[in-house]
Amino acid sequence: MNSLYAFLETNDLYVVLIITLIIWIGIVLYLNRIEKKLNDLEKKGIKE
Amino acid sequence: MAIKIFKYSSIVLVTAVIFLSFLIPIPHIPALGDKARVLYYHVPMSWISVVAFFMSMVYAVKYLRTRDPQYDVKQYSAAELGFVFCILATATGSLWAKFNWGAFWNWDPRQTSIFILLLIYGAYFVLRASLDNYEQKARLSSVYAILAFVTVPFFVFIMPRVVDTLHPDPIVNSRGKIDMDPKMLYIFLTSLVGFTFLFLYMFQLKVKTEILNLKLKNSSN
Repeated sequence: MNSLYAFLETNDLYVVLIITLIIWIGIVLYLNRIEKKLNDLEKKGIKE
Repeated sequence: MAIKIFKYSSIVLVTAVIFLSFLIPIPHIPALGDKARVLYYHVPMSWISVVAFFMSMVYAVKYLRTRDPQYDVKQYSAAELGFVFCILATATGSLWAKFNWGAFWNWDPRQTSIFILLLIYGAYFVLRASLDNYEQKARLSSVYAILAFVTVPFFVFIMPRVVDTLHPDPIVNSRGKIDMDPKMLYIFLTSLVGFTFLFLYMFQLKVKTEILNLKLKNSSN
């Protein structure tokens, strides 16, 4: 863990890369959640 | 099925682009340097807004021909997402301008044209919001979406090629050629396809939401 921290301290670009990836993963998870909710609502709509 | 293809293709391609855009070295470009990497994100945003506004125009024509509400839903869903991506293109371009031109906003012809485009499509949403009658709202906004798209090729493709601007050459320059390092070009094209799939996935979600919303409104009336 300490070696990873030392590596990131000297390689700024990888810090920005990790931040960008975290944002991207967040967006994908959020869209996935919306899709699941919509599918559930559609199924409920069909049953009613 | 299509929604799954768009979803997983965009996840794979955009993730690849994020890695490649940071890790693959680019050749030295005078006055731009590493800031040139913004094109992997900025240009696809602009491209998607054009695609979205075009789709909005196509669905507007379909609505006027058939009066089927699903085309109206698709028409304004495309316009709404196009507007969001247009704002993202403006924001990413403006951030780049701060570090390349010294200010976030310079009223460069490129910035002015995208600003006018945002005003034109902003007026589209004002028009929709100001009408209560659904038929009238759908009909008038369809006509407006068609007229609004007529201005898009002028502001996005023609004006930057005929007016002197500080903005770097468009991808396909005024001589009709692509002057880009092959490695950069591959990453750029991957980004273009990846973000287009992401837009199509978001478009499908938006349409699903709006159709459910329409059904809910109809059932409560």
